[in-house]
Amino acid sequence: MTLSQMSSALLLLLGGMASAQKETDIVVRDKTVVQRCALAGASSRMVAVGVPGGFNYAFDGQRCAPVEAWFGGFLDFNGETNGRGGNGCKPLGARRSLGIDTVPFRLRDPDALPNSVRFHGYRRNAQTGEPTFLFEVDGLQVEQQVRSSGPDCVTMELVFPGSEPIEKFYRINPSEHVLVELGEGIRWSGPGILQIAGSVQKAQVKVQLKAGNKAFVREVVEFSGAELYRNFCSACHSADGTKLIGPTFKGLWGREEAVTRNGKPESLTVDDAYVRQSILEPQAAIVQGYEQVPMASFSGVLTKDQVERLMAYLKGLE
Amino acid sequence: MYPPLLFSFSHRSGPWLGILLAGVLTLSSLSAADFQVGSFELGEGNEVVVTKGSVVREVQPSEPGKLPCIAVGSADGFHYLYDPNQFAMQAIWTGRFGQEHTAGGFVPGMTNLKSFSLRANPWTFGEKPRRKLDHEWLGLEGRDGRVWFRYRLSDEKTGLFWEVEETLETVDENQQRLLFGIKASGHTEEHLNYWVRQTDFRRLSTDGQQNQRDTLKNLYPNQKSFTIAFYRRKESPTLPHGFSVRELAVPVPAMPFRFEPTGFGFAQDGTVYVTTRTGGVWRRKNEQWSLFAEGLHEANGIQVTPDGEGVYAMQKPELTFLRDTDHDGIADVYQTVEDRFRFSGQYHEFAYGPRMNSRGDLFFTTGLSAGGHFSAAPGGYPNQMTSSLGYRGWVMKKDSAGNLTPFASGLRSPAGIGMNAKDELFVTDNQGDWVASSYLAHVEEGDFLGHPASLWDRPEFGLTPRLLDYKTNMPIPKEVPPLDPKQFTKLRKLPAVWLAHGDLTNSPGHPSFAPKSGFGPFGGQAFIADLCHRSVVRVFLEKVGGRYQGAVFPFLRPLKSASYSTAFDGEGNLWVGSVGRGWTAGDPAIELIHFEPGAVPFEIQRMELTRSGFDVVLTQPIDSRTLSARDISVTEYQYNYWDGYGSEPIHEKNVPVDEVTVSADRTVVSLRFPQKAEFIYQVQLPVLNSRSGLPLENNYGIYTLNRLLP
Repeated sequence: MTLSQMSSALLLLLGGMASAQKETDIVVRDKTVVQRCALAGASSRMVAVGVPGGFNYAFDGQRCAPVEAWFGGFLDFNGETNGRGGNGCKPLGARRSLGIDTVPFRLRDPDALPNSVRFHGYRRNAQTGEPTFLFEVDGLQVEQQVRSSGPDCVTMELVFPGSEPIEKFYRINPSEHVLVELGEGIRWSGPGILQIAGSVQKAQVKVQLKAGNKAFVREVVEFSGAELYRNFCSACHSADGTKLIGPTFKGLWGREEAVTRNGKPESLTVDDAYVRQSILEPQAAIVQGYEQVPMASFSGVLTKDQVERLMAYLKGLE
Repeated sequence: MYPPLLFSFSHRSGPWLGILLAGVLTLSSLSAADFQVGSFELGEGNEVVVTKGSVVREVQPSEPGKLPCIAVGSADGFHYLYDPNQFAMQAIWTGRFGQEHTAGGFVPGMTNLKSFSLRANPWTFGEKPRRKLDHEWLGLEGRDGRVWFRYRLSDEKTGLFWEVEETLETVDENQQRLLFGIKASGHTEEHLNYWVRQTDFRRLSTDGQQNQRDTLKNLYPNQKSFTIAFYRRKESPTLPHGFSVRELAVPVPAMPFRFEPTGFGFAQDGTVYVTTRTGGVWRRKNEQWSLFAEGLHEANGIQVTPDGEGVYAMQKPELTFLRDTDHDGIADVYQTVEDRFRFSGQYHEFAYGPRMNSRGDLFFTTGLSAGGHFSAAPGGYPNQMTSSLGYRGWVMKKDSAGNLTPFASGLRSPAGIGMNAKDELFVTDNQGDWVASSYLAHVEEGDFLGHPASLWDRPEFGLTPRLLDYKTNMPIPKEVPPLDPKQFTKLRKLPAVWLAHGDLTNSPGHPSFAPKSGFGPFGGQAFIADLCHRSVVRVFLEKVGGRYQGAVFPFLRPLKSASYSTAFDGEGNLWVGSVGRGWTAGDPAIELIHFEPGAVPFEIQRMELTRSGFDVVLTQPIDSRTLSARDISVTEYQYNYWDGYGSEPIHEKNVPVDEVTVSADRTVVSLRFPQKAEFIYQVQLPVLNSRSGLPLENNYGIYTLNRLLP
């Protein structure tokens, strides 16, 4: 399975999150959602963006940069609707740094903070709801978009409409990332300094985020077994016997299944060990008739505790 | 779990003909029949008629194992019920005290109930309140012609106990006082707290600065006595003749969003834009609602541009211009117009506005923080609002050329902003520390309106740059110089009209000015909705000595929910939006107040200051009744200017009216009495009838007399 296949499978699975966890959650359905809010421990001028499929990020209107991302649910809005409100929003996933802790965009001198930075807001795509952030650094107009480009991967795109050919710099801390991929016309000019050639009108930087950057993990919503099922499994596995992409979970335990293991047919009785293995190594033994759409592994997606909680829930499905 | 009842009184021995006790007697040493601080007779149907002092009766508890409640009847006609299980008054009533049951027991005659709404188990200890329920009931005591309820509170954490005695004193139907005597078993630095809801009362005050709305009363450590005075509101519904209220169907957004209207903007073509607390902007066009913009950070106010190019919306972090460039009915550009002020993220840092004058200048206001940062009187009232510095508690002006000016300071929680037809800007502020009562103020450049926490941003302190842009944005200072009340008291501009906290408002919202015509006889007057009272009040303003002052009148109550936002549409209807959260909230709503052309209500149209008193101008001639000075009630009072949470009226007294005359056309009642500057005058007429036969339901006004006529 290629990375992109895996990512689309993962995003498909995460798409199952469109069923709300809690009444106070902002649910992302078929359009990108933009919500200004205060996030704990971060700037009070944040713009949180939830993209269908479970990719979320926050753009800081103070630093004029995207600063963190999370995968999973979008935002718990309870802090805004409970009582007098104003108590901020909680990202529904582990917050991960984008490696930007300053005003990253610079002209001329990469080591000096700009003289003026003005946030101009954003424009939204009428069809997708996707925002394009607008800001101005030392008189240069900049437009920025942020996209997910695979599991843990974020692509930032900077556009300079109508700018003169002038060298620009972007500060990013590569030690926060597994990988930084640079688009055309961009190069490292020093530690943590990207140089964007004057001729570049559209600059792309792709970062692969470190898993669970602890420094930014603040509020991880603990899903119940039912929520885990709904968020991660229900798109492909029904709980009521309906046939979907994968076998139903109804009456799973103790069921006799004909599977293919290592290319050979085999019969087995579904038990804890088989379900656990199917979650973590789904290709190990595939139920016959379900080979068409290979399932992505949840190893590294779900924690050990979450797998056990999910299994306890599935076991209870009559 | 309760100690045995230390007293027991029944009527078995027949009518008590008690003797007023002098001195201290505790029930533990008395038999029931001896416990008397008054006398009574048994009337027809075994009615207990109190003839002197107070008489006590037991009311059987509703649950077994509980102590009986204690009914106290008094000769002055005010009776009450005390629950020793909850250490709280349960009810007060007038008329019949109650009935002896032939089978035993007493049935209180609570037909004219004036509920106390006191909290059960009101006592807690410490800063983070610890509550304990099983305090020790000690019994009753008759002293000074009153019945005292006695109990011993104990706190496990400190090992302290307090012996408390409590009694009720009735002033009149609408005024009572609870008096407490407190003896602590030892010295303590901890607060003892008594919980009480203020919003149920027209006015509620405690000793000194302990007044805190709807929450704790912090008694000072080792305080020995304590009084709570209750003033009941008269809350009869009112709607002036000729006006009607119509509720509008509102959208129901998908959770977690709600439709809580915080501001209305009207476009030339009749389209209405509504901001909501959860950050939406809804549009109503041809009676159809649609979501115009979303995802704002607590949107609080809206202004449609005169050219219809877009709408300005205020949200906590910034002023935003919303435009629909592809004309699909949904905003696609969210342009940051102004964010060069501090927003630390504290929940109470609300932002309100904007309002636009005819030159295109925009004005918005910022609220102070409810915690952290700097308070103006360190060591004073503990819950003062604070500033992080950076233009919190300010009116800000964004002129049409794009410049931002810190325009005026001194605001606390300025939930209302409005502009009249003369481009004059007004704000309302909410009662609290340094704000004795909610008020309406006229704002001019450079004004300081009273809350000192905003002062550190003024240029003379050299602390806050004129603009908090990216380059000049400063960290929150580590310390700030002390503020001198002598200095800032001199700076302070008095509100144009105090909105009579408790009497008429508790949490006022936006002032909206009625168009010259279309809203009955009230053209040009300000209308303000109040969140707590579910009401709209009306304000008349006049310039005296170059400054606005005037009077506030009741106008309309009750509305459906916590009414907050108001605006007049192009046809002269008053829109009132009610939020679904707040002290007395129900479901969010929009109500339209419409005036039927041609109708003439009977109201006090205005109260004008004269050199010798007031001219009370009515909207219709009064009937042929003769008015004498004794028919008019005038009360004067002032407020404290201090760090305490609000102020009860001080220097309050009745002012005898020297002379009253009615004009030849019978629409002006002229009152003559001595006036003083910087006093508030409540003037109440009798319930007059108009010549056309309408009663004057709203027969009073409260005038803020800052300046006497020159």
